[in-house]
Amino acid sequence: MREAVLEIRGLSKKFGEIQAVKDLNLTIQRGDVYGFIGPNGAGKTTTIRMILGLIHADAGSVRIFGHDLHKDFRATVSQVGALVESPAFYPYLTGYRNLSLFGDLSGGVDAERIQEVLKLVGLSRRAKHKVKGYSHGMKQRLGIGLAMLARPKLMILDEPTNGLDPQGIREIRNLIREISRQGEITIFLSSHLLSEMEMVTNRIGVMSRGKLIAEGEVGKLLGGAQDRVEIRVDQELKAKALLESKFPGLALAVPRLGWLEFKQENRDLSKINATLVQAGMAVHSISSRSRNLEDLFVELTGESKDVY
Amino acid sequence: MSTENARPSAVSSGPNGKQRDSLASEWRGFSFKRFLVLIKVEIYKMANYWVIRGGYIAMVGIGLIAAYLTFHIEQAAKLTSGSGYAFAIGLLLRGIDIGASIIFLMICMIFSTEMTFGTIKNILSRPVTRIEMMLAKYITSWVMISVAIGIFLAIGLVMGKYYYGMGDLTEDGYLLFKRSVMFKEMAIAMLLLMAPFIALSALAMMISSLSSTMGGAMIIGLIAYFFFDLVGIIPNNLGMTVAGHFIPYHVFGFPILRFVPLTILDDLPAGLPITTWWVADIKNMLLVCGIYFLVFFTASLVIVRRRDFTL
Repeated sequence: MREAVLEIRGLSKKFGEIQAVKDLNLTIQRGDVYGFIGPNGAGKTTTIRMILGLIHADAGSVRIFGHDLHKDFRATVSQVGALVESPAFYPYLTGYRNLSLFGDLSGGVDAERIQEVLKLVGLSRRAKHKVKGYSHGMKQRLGIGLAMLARPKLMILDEPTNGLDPQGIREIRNLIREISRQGEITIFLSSHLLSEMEMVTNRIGVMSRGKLIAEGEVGKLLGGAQDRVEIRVDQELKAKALLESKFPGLALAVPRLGWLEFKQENRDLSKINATLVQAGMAVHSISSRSRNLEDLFVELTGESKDVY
Repeated sequence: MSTENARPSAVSSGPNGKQRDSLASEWRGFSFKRFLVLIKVEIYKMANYWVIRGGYIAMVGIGLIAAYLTFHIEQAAKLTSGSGYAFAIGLLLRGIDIGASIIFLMICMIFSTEMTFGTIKNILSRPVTRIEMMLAKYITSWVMISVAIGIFLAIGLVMGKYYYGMGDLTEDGYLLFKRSVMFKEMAIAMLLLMAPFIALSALAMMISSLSSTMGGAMIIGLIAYFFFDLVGIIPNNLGMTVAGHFIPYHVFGFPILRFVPLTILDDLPAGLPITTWWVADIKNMLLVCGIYFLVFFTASLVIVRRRDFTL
């Protein structure tokens, strides 16, 4: 078994009557790219803030590389680089100067390292400009740069691709892959972009209402899943009603206009096709696809739009 | 697939259920060199913030205008300060009167800017403890106070020299005090002047540490400043008797005590020597300001240690 980088035991936090995090246990091992997912208000960012000591936990413990956060704060935090939610900088200073100041606080960060990081996040040309003139995406890049500045052994990235353009998202994805490939840095990644998470993480934890409701290797979590069938059809609502009446127990969903979706569950697709055609409906395509992280996420956390 | 959320064998909680680092852990791994770096970073941030620069520019402007007007009003009234020293001390009194509220508001920003910009999370996710950060901010505030006092003193001395000269203090050809004596006494007065300002800095830092925005800190700060300032002008005969001792209300208005060292110093240019600085007014000033400082300083540290930063 690999070395435990981050160990969370019985972590709990209440804000007034709201139980933000309840009895959370989590272990992240060296080299992991751990995806931390959950709906809004699930307790992900609160957990991250507790890991960094920004919020006091009501109960529980956080250990990073064996050091207890509450007993040995400096030794714990000095091995962590973090981007928590939106990036924050002094707007009246340049990007370079912001990194330089925070680098001074971390220690061991020289001008060469700052230039290297700025180049990695694609901000070399704007390094001497004041942060107040940066776009949100540029601040996000600078935030990622700040997280990796002091060569941390554990990087905690909360929504790192938030506000980035598609090219930026791709660059950050590649950067995370590159960092994880080297195997020296463990990454704890929280994001709503589930397709991105699926591409870069090897393990995920799903939070819902302050609890970790599922955890494991991405492949295993998705492996046991059944394929899903997508039908492109005219009059999808009418088709849905027809199929539900003819095939009891078939859980149909309308993911978008003109499409029906259901779990494969060894259904005979030719019979479903025939039923639709005989009812005079035009079936344009029937295809099956593997279940992805988004399907798993929705299954585990539900479709509810309410924030907990 | 589901996790097994086993309870930890031992869960330690602080008072009111929250977990906090012990005070000892605040100092574990403390490095003085890194603390100096932290102070340097704090001073750099403040020195480069345009609002702080604006505050100092305002002080320079006020000092220069006050010097110009003071001299010309004296000329019009056919009065003179008599010496560059008297002019400088008079200007310092006026400058400190107005400048105190400006420097107070500037100190209110030291912590609240971190909240407004959200940078507090960047600082605290580095190997910097909350108390360490606050101590660095306190030292920064004292540097800022010294600069403010220095501005008014420098303007007073330069303009005093320009208008009246700054040699040995004489009257009708007789030497009253040598120049070195004048500067020594002025230096002592400046040091003592720091006491009420340090107490003010603690009040500003406490308000700042309670606030989530810079605007909030400044509004609450202004209210608090003028409350304590007004308390200081309550007449001496109003107060309360505790265990046989009469305590006038005005001693609670500690900002007004900033004038004490300067009023003592003000006698010097008139030829009255300062035999000792250890007089009742100074003792009272140090005692009152010391108590206020301890109360506000402790409160600000406790607030920051207990606070959840949800930015």
